[in-house]
Amino acid sequence: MVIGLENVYRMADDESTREIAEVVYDVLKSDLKFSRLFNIVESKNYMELPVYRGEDVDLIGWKQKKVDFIVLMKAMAQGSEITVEGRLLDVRTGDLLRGKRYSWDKKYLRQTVHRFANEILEVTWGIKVPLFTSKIAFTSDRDGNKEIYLMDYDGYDQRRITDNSILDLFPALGPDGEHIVFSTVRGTKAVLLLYNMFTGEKITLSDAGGLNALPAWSLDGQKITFISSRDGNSEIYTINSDGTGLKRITFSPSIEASPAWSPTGRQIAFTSDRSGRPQIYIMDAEGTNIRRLTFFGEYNESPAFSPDGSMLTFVQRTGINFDIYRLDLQSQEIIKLTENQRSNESSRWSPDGLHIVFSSNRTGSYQIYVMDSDGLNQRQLTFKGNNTNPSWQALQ
Amino acid sequence: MKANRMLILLVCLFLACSFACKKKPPVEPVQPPPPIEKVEPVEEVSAPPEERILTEEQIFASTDLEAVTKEFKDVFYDFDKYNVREDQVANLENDAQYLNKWKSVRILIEGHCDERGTNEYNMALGLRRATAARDYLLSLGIDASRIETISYGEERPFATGHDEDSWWQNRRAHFVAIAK
Repeated sequence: MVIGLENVYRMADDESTREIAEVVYDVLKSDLKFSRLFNIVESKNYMELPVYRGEDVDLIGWKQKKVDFIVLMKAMAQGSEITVEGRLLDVRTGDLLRGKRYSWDKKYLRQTVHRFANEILEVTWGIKVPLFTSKIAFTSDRDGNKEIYLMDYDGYDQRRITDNSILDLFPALGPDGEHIVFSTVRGTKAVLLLYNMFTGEKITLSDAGGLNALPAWSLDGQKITFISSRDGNSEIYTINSDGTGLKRITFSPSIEASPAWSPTGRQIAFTSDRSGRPQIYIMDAEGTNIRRLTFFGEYNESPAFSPDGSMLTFVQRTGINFDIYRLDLQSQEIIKLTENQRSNESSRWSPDGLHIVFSSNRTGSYQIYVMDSDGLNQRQLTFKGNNTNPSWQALQ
Repeated sequence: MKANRMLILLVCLFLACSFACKKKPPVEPVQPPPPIEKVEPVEEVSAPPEERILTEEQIFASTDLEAVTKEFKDVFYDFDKYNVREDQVANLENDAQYLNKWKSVRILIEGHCDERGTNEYNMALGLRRATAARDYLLSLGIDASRIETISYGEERPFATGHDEDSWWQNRRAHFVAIAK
């Protein structure tokens, strides 16, 4: 699919409108590029950010360049407010397929463009998952202790959301866009907390035993699976996201870790060392029908389902390195996605299933990276302190 | 004294008798000189003041948890393992001995891992290291209610290097006194 980027027109001839227009163009272009779903053709004089003087769209010229759709943006700054307008046109018919205007506070400038990019994705490809407004939660020690942070999918607007003095670990963003589950060290225990990011309300989901950690949501947001030592050994449990219905589902003297819910909610993949070494297994969500999934390598860990449930990424130790692999559950085909650059860990899928976020210490410190689901286009999103355990969620 | 008096009495009786019997001219009886009490030139020495020596119990009562923590020896593990190594048994015996001596002490055993491995799995592995150390103490007769366990996985390294010099120090069960 070929998409043409028209000029971003300035609705006023002042400096702050120019700055806004520049951001609009950059965000739009990098969103569409990131998706890998479009061939992008830029207008000849897009750098000029011309002042708008009425409609002047050269549909014939775009048609000659074999462009299917064009995007036309307008921008204006008015004090602390901005107005961003986006239109998506069908080049063949000249029809307006989608038009939106956002008159928002200036701090939401990037969000307005992400919003319109979501609209483009929906109209052109029918993709309803709002990828460009999705968020990534992660832990960082940039301010001292490990705390939970949130950022836009493209690494912008990194902000801290927890304020505990000891340690906050393993964030899992809920599909409702409102809740996040994580482990926090309280006294002599690591307890599992459900935190409402808007109201600040906290619910303790599990605080028995010394360890309650590694939470993962079911796709419908109704349930959370996690590990706990509440019965002595680290076992896998499930609980409703309102804190009721706690259920133990593994009963094994071995290590059980890293549970991940399949998108259908019927299965849970996890790691166990019941064979002597950590390997990945899958079971029904009730804990029955346990099967081993990985048979090569001495150390396979941290499974994560693709949103359509067809694939699983995991981490394998290869010599002194840890790399991320992708297993096709149908064909059993395995692809290595990272290449021998120290530790690459904690892979999690993007909501649209086309990208993968992970952490790596390839530069010396742990940072969050994003890559396409085939391992291409690896790019670093964090730079301060150590950043680990990303969780990617589309927020409505 | 009494003996002396008796003696004097006897002597007197004897003399009186002999005078009476022999009828000798009356002579003034000569009394023996009174016995002189000997006073030796020694000084009375009082017992030395006793130093206030603290009992073990008193010492224990005055130490803080940090000092109690230092009485414990940590247990170290092999890479990716959580079984108690033979060379670590002496450390656990030391710890059990201390716990047996001071029954009021309660401890937290923290499980730790080196940076290798995922930090998810290391959370579970650290827990196993902590529980392996705890189970050994239980086998030595320590009451389970006195021991809590937590895992810090690879989150709280003791040494921050990126080689075995640091890694071996980070694969451990670390003992912390939490009550006494």
